[in-house]
Amino acid sequence: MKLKHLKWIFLFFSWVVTCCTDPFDPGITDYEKVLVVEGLITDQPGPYRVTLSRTTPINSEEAIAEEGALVRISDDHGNEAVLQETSPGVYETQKTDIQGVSGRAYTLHIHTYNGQTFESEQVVLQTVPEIDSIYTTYQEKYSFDYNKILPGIQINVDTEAWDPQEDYYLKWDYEETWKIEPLWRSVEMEYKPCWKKEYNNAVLLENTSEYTSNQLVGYPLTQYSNESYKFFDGYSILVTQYALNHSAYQFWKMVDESSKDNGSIFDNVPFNPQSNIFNSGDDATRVFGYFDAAGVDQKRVYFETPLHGLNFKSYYSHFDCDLYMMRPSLYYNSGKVHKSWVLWENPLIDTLAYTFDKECIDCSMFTTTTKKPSFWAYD
Amino acid sequence: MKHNSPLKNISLLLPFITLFPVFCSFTWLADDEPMSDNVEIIEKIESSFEVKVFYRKAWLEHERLNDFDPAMKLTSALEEVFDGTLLYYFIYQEDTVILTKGDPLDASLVSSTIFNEPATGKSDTLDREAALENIREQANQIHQIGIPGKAGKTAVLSGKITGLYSNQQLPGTSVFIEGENNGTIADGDGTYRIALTTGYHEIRFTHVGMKPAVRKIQLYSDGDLDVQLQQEATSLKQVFITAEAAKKEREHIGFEKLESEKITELPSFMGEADIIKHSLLLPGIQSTGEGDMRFNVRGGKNDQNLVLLDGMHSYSNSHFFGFFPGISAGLVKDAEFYKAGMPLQYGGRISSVYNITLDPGNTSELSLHGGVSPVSLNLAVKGPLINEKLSFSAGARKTYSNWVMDLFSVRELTHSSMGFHDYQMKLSWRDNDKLSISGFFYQSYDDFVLHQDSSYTFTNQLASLNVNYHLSNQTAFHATLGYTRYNTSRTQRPSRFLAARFEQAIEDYKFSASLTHQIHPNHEILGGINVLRNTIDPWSREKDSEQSIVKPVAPNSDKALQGAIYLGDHLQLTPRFKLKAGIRYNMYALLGRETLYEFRDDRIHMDYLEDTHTYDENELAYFNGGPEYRISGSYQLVNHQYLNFGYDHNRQYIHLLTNTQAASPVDSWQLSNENIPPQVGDHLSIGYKNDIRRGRYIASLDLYYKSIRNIKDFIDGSQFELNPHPETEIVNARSQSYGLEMILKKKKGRLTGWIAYTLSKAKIKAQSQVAEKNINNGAYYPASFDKPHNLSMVINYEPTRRLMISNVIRFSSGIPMTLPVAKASLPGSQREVLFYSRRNEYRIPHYFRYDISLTYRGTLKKDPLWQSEWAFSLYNVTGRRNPYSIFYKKSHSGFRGYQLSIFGEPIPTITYQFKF
Repeated sequence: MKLKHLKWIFLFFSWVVTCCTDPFDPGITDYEKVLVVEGLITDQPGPYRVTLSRTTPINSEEAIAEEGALVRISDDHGNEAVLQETSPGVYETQKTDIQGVSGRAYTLHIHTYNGQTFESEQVVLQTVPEIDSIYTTYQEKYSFDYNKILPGIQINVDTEAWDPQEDYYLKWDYEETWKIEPLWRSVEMEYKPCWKKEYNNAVLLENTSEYTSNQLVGYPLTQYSNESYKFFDGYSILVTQYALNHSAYQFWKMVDESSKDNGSIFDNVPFNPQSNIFNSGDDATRVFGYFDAAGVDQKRVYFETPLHGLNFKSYYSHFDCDLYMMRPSLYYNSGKVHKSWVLWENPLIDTLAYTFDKECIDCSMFTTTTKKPSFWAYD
Repeated sequence: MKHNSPLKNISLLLPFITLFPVFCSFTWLADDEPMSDNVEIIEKIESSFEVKVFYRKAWLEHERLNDFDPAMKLTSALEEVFDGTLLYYFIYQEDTVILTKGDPLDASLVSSTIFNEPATGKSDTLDREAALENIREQANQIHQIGIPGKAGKTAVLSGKITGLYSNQQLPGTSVFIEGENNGTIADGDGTYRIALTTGYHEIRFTHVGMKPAVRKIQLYSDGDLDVQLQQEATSLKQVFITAEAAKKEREHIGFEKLESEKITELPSFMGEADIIKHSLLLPGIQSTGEGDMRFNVRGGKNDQNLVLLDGMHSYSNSHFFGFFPGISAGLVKDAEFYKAGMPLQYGGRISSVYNITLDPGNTSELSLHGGVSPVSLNLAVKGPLINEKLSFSAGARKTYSNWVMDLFSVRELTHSSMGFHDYQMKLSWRDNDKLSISGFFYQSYDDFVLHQDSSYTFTNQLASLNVNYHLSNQTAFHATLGYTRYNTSRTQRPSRFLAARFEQAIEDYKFSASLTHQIHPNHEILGGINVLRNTIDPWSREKDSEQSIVKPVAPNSDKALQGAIYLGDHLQLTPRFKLKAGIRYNMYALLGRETLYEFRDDRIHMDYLEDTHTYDENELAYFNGGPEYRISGSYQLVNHQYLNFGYDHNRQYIHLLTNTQAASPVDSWQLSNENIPPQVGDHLSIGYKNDIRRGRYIASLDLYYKSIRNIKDFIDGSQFELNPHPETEIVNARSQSYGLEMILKKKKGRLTGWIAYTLSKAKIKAQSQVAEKNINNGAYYPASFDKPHNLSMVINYEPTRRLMISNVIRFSSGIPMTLPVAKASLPGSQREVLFYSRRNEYRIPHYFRYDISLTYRGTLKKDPLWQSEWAFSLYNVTGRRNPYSIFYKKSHSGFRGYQLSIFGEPIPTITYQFKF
């Protein structure tokens, strides 16, 4: 049975002995190109998406899309929708084709271009308890990087209470978006704030039958110390709460167990999560992935500093963004012109301010977008 | 140079010399002898202190004596002269110095024979002289034994072998009939029995440290001959493998005897000598890696070994997740390890019996032992409570690593702690020669706390009471009463609402009794019973904070009663052929309260649930039983060559459910039920042993084949904790293993050690009617501990008696691993997930490690006030980074594989041991 914290035991040995981690490449070249399926129908309006691909070598960048398949979703009321391939390997329902309804059972059918047929287990859509609130609490946490206990926050979710007779396989995903404003305005370019986006890394799963309460309160989604730079200029989190079927819950649980492998012989022998999609012909053809029908609830919240009186760090604490001043005449005749960025020039006091790194005036150097997300309600 | 007449003191020395006949051949150096430096130094002693030195010239050949300052006192000078040599001095009556080589004179013996005599005690001396005279007479006369004229071609000679004066029993004395290739070994209390043809024989009695004795007898019919042996002046250096064990090693298939003193001399991790870990250097016994708390014997699973501490089995034998031994090697007397030819008395486990006997303590002298290693401090007291009757040994060990942790301030481990302690006590009582009783208690505790939000604790308790009673010279009774409890728990507190504590406990009571009876010296029968009661409290869960919403789970205890009766025969069929054969019938009953599940069509899966049966308290829920066969034998080919064989058929009703590469302390123990049938093993082995040059070398070659039914394999994603029906997550699989084991040992001399090589294969086949229970499509695949090649070398060199250099080299194939072969992308969840190979499809690189240790003994005197020993050991001298495990991490550039090495650099350790 897995020892959850074995990593720390090895840290003990890294103290008493020199424990080392070295790159390892087993040089595996041949592998099975297994069909990878991910499909989800929810009780929210469509379109619903099914992606088909093949496993790729661990080090490869490319993806192998499974093109030209016939993909259908049927329910136990005789409804059926054929999905359209909107981009290679991505199959989507039309808005009007099918709508997920609580209590109905859905099946995914796949007929690949090379003639293999696959079918999923019937999955029943169950309405999820709503998200009651998402909030932060003050939380001190030991930081390995700083070797001390740091003040910080924990982001929690509370669910609404549900019918005590019901049990759920809950899963949470979150998408974090935070704003970064350039440290300096520059005369050399337009001042544009940026937004950065990240998805949860951890698999967040709960089986509510493990708990005595018919409501989850203070369920920890993630934690940050005040060294975090996500909260300096505004932060938003979109939390999606799913009510999964048992098979999809098992799939994610197994993904979690295998991905938490931290290199101990006390770790579970790794394995491939069991799929609820099977080859209609033979059992030996393996499929990776799942198809699920899930009740979904989503909630977005914004957190603005100060949070619990904490001073979060700016992203710019990573950069050397010192501001220098000089006489413009000197500056323009120096070699700095091509290596730095002018922030402002004031002829009245005959002074020019500059900084060296472009990142200090342009956050798009390290983020994805300068376009304000549609949901962003603040400046 | 002035010399006294060599004969001047000879009359005074007479009792001494006759007592220590070795000295009779001492050379008195005359003036005209050629002088070496050493001789000059000895002469300098004689002239400076006006003493005479008795010694044997040959002893000086390979020694370098040190010069001394004549102004010193005699003792200091002698101390100086012989420092660093194998020579010991003994000062007799102020004007005589006697040297011995190898070992000092036994002071107790010397004092009782010489020094305690009053100055005028001539009569006492005469008594002793008379005793010696008597002994000499006994050696010369022909003893008439039995009643002349009584019919019979053979007769039984028996008797007791004791030390002269001390009446100390001499177990293990070898009794050898000169010129007849017949002999026996005296048993535990020094009695011997041997069948001989009637007529004249010469019998030689030899015992380590005693002068051999020869008796001439004229045997008419059954009779007694007691023999007293004189202590040899130079009691040999402690001989680790006694004659009896050596004989057993020769003539018993798959048997090894391990001595704790030998083990402590080998290099050990952090100075913690581990008898079980070191036995991995022997062929046929393996583990998955450094932190494996259990071991695998000849392809058997790690739950198939019966580890006994003073007769009671133990569920855990290590600390800190397998890295440190559960019991100090210093408190172990010895261990017997059977990988084949299991003794009939033991059962319940398929692959091996590891019988550890704790040190009973010394019956005459109190001593305090202690040791300091970087990890722990240990102290032990041994000694008599009632002289010659009741002795005890008690020890305790504790880590001080928390203190060290704080000192070093390992940032990752702040607010974490690790600690363990254990203590034990053994009382041994011996009344006359017939009855001996010993009681033993052991408790160990482990605690590991991580950042204050999760913790593990392990408690292991063990107690046993052993009674040995010799009803007569032919009949012996042995009984064991035992108790053990192993408790594991862990807590996790991700938040105060989700704080939970998990716990598992296993508790056993055991009673066993056996009777051995010698019908004829060539024929011994053995019978007995075993009763075992197991109680397992499966994993339970409870809230670990007041606000916790975790649902408590408290499953019923699983209770079982196991019983076995057995009967066996030890036969000396011909002088060359010995056979042991026995049958054990064992029975197993699972008792209520129980809820058992019935499945359709042998498909043990909840989809095929047919019915659920519940059983009341102590109601019979499941019964199973069957015979176990134990056959082993030895055929002496020529002089010292033996052909041994063994067949074992064993059944096992308790299983360790694990889905990790190595067993961990939080694994679940499970009793058999209808869906978890007992494991049944068949093991056949045949071996050849050659005892070269009277035991100086032993060469051995073994072949084995082992097949096990219903070995417990696990399905992908199995979860045993809090699972009311773990049978749905395990597969009753088959395993097959076979191998060739070779070992060459050098057992005597300054250079000792062995080289062992094993070529083996261990594979598992998990096939079922349920699709997901077909591991690797139901084909044979390598077991997680399968290491086809395994080579180990142990080289111990003792340049002087003060210094011991020990080298250990291990090489083995890498263990099988399940590795990712590809990745799968799940764009809907913004994730990439690794796709793994079939189970154990790949292997990690091979394993190589070289360890060295240097042991320096502070003093060589037999009974100094303070005896100390420094051990310096260097673990992993070459610094090879043996992959302990493989893991993959995701970075911006994708997944990357890493290998983790635990001992990635040479690890030096200094340990200090003392005896007071």
